[in-house]
Amino acid sequence: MKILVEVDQQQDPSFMVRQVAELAGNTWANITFLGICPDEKEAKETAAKLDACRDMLLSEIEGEVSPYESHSSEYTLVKLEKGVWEQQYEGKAGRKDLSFRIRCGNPGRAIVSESMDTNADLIVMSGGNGGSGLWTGDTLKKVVRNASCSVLALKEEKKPQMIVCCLDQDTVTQSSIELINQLVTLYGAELEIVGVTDSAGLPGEVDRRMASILSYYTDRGVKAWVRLVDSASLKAFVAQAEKNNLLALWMGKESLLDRIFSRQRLAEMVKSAESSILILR
Amino acid sequence: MVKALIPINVQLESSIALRYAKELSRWVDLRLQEIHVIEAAQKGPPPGHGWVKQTWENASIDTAGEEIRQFLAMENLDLKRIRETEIIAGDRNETVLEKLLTRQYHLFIEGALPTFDTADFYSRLRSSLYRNMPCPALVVKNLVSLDKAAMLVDAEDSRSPVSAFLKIFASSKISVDAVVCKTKDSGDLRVTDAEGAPAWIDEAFKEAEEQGVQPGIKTMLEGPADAAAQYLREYGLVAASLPKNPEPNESKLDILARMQSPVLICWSEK
Repeated sequence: MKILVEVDQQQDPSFMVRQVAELAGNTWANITFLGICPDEKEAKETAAKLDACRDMLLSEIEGEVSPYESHSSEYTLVKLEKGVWEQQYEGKAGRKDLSFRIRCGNPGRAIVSESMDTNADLIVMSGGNGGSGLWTGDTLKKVVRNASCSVLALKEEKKPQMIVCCLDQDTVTQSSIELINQLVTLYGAELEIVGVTDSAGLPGEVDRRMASILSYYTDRGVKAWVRLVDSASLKAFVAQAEKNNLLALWMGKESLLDRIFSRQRLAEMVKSAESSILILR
Repeated sequence: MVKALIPINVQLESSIALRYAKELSRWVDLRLQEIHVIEAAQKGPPPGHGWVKQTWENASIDTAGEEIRQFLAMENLDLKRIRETEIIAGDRNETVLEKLLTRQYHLFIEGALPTFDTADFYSRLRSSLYRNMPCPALVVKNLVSLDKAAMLVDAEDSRSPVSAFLKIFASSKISVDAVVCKTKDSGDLRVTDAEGAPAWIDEAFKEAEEQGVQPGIKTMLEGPADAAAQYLREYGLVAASLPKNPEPNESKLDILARMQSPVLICWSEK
């Protein structure tokens, strides 16, 4: 798995780094931290913040068998192209990649470009706590609209009691199913698989997909519940579910969820949600 | 031996119900009869009358039978069965009810995935099938481990649900807690030991023990129905008595409608 972690200049990244460290410890993912600065003059300042994230991440995984090389050398900031830098550390590479990049310019566009360059499976962003950082509704909309991978907007306030996954299509990738499994482990939460019904009930292909997903999790000893929600009640359900749970929405092309939750609505929902939200591809 | 009728189709709800039946058979000597009813809406309008219609219906039954056989082969559950799955064309509720009324089943088992809208559960209980059902109904909403059960009662209950429960679980040695509920519209859920529980619970526990069921603890729940339902998720089965065709203001009904775990409905006299 490849995880792209967006580091917001304006916010304390420690919570997010701890969460990523736990995910990384379980998955041995390749990780790229991405710092974004409004202009090139701030690249060095952003690099210092990324370096601090690196120290935090490595100290979190320390003591376990870490797949990441933890050499203590200073980094060099190497310009790859206009507005793009890489922080390079001397020494041999670890078994898994841990890289640090900086991009200048529009945050939404930068995150999506980096996710494509690194072929990321998951973008992790800070869900924000009402701050005025780079992470805004606009950024989220751009990332959700244009990223081809899953997006996790992390909220700091509370640990979710349950991971609630909504699906209305059978186009669910294996990597997203595995990602949910990791989050269940990470939070020690239970899992609920929610099928979205239309006027004719639960579409047969969604029923079959729910069955296969349920089998996947129960075979792995994950306690998984199932539930049906009518599309007309979905907004009310989501409003209730987002209070104490991590809400995961499988939003593929042609998805009913995609139509129900406009980009604007989704951005607002993530900003106002009390818990983290995961958009799955 | 507990004879149970279970309507099935090739969907997740049936898969869950069958797997839960397997879980249940760890505790009771369960003999299962599966039935699949092909409804008119499912097979479409007949293409003609007389011989043409009959031939077409037979072909529908053959096709459905093959699908069900494949489904059961996929599930591959080692269950004790009374006889092969019955495949019948007709109205589902009427057909199932007729079988329940004429064949003396001890239990009806049905897979029904829980929905966000509690009205769906009320509609189920108000259907002709449930209103006329002669035996307890086990509504399997999710696949969970059956390690312990709860008997959900309120201050107005009598011992009738316990007798119905014991008819199924006698000698099973399953552990059963008594949960006394008092619903409120708002506030937090209060969980206390049930000092104010109906006096008959102690006698029922004694009777349960004599019949090979392990009496557990008594708990009082006081609070909103959704919080009570959430609390009860730890149980692999929640049994409760309800009158036939219950009113929506029946306090236990609201909790049962919101339950995610399987629910055993033992019909009360009132």
